[in-house]
Amino acid sequence: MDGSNENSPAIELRGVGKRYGDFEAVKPLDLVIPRGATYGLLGPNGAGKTTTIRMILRIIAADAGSVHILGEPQSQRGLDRVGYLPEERGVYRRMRVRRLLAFFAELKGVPARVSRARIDGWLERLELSAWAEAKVQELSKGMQQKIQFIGAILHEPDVVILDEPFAGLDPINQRLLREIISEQRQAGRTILFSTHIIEHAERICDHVCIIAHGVKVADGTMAQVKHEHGSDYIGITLAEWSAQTAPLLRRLPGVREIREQGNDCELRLQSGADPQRVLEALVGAGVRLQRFAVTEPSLEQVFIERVGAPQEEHLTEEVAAHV
Amino acid sequence: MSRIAPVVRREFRETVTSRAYFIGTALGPLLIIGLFALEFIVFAKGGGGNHRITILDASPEQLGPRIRTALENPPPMPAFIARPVFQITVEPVAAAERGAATVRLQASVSGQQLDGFLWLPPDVIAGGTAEYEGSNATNTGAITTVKDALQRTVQSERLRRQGIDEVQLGRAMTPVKFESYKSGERGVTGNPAAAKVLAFLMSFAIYVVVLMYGQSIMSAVQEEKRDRVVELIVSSIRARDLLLGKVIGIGAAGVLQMSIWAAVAGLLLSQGGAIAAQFGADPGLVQILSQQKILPAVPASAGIIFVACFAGGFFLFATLYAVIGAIVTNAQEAQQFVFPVMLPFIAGLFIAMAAGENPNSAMAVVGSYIPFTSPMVLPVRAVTAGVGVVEGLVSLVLLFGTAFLIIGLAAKIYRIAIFATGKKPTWAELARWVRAD
Repeated sequence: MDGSNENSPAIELRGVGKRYGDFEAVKPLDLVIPRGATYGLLGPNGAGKTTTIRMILRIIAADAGSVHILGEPQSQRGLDRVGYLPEERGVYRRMRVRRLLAFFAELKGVPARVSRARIDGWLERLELSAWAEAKVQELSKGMQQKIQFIGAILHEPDVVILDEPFAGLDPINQRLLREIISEQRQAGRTILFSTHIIEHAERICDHVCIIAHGVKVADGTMAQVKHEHGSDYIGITLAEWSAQTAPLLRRLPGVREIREQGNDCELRLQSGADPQRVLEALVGAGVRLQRFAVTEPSLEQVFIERVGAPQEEHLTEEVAAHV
Repeated sequence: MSRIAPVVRREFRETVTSRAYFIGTALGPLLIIGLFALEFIVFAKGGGGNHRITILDASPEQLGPRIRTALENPPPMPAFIARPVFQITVEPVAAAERGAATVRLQASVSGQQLDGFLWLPPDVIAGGTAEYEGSNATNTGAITTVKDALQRTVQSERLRRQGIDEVQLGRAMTPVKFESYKSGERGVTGNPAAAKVLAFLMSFAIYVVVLMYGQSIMSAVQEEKRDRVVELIVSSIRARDLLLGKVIGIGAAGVLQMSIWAAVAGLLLSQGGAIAAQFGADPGLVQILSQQKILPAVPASAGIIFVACFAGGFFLFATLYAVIGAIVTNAQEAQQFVFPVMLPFIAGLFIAMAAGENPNSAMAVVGSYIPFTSPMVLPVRAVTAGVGVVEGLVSLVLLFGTAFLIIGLAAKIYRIAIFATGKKPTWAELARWVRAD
């Protein structure tokens, strides 16, 4: 890690916005990503996640606001310390794997003599050593994606930005990627991770920001976001499910909403309702329980309630290319 | 600059190691040699063959037999040049019999017993028209030989009538040896014809490299856009640096290829005789090739102007090609943008050709200042007329100033265009992208 501005956030956005004609892709946004955080940027398709990331990386210019990376305004030096895996996976298909990776490293200021050993190490780790001299177009799509991922972390950046990193990977490779992300976090790197699949974020992230329609609707540590959303949730696991269970759950006092998943149910209480009374009602009705817990909402619950039903957007092609 | 370097290296390396580049580099000189060889073969061998000709001689001086002697005993020529061989029959006729004789000889030509016949009118010495008709009338080598023999015979007879001795006249009429050389501080000194050729070659080299490698750059950008790799690159370096790196890298590959071709051409021009001798060619041919005049020495200033125009012109147009590659999605769309951009460039080549003939004409002078035509016109003027320091500097400053301006504007369009998909942008949209921060 670089010694300068060590107390400053890894990434800091102040009033950063982007507009395409009449369409406001990102409304002025403040975002503070602490150093060492694994930060999930969540939002439905078209929410403005990729536009935000592109503004952080200077790929597109923000209309307003400021971006600081590792305490400094955007600069080549700052960007050299960031690794990026774009959502739109692209490689020079006719280049050989080793040469392509060396090129990616050179773009970040790492000379070929330094990157050589790292490339060999990563290719071995991701079981691609046999393909080192192959042309990229000879590799499967999944393999190409792994090559791109290596390209994003080869220069050992302080900040790693991953835009939908799991898309297109099989479960085995998804697991491998999660392991590597975890290692990167343990090495003290900051990870900004964008996804619309909440399950991934819940498993990996310690911080989250939810944006929808270009506006931030939640931001903070995972615990903060859930807490702010309300802690009036009860999680129960039924010993057995019967035909009478569903109507019985709906009649429970103070319960506003029920989400069922097999024998597990998540009950959202009305404001001020007492969980104790729910427990009493369940026991009184003779329901056999394996688990009863007053819980925080799931991230998915928070996401659905904060983002709401997706709205139809009529984007022009130009805008669509940037969102 | 350091972040442009990896892009330059990648573009250069990927271009020069491609199969197309290897084939192009090897085939270019072969194609040039092939064209020269073909021209030589046409020249050397095309005029040969046997020709059976009848001379219908109505001239009172009976010139027919003398023409036959001239045709059957031609002056010496190098052995490798195929010469026509004639079998001549002379038929003295009266002018009134021409019609009947013509019909008869035409039948012989149709029946392939004869290749053609030459009509010598009674007044041929006084200026009457001799006529040739035959199946070989389009054989330039044979017909030129017949015409030369006729001319020499008629002129000799005219002189004899004037009482002039042909041998003495021949001595008196020996051509004066004359060669013109350009002199002075400006331009190329030496053979002006060679200077003109050199000047045109300079222009043409710029034209060819821009066209060939401009297209290459355009395809490379399209490929980068299609393969969606560009986002990763511009997350590390600026779009402008990617654009510049691409132009420099592919341009350098183009310069290397041209240099290889020029070296091969130079070797052939200077060592053609020796090479031909190695391959056991006819001594006459070896002699001709050895006497080839080497191109004139170019003053340093003209050399510098050529290199500067090459670089400035390439940057200007290659950048435009790159932008076109970024804003279109297929080759057909590209042509709609390429044409208006290339129009002034093609005009530059035509002005350069005219400037070779008249380097100080108003068109040539103006053309050497306009940045879109100057890359081709200025080197021609520098070689043929010479260009003053101030004039050269103003022209180059205008060229490079425009090139940098275009690169700046192009980078703005490029930055947005490489992410745009779908329909091609309108000119109004392009203007908006330029204005966008």
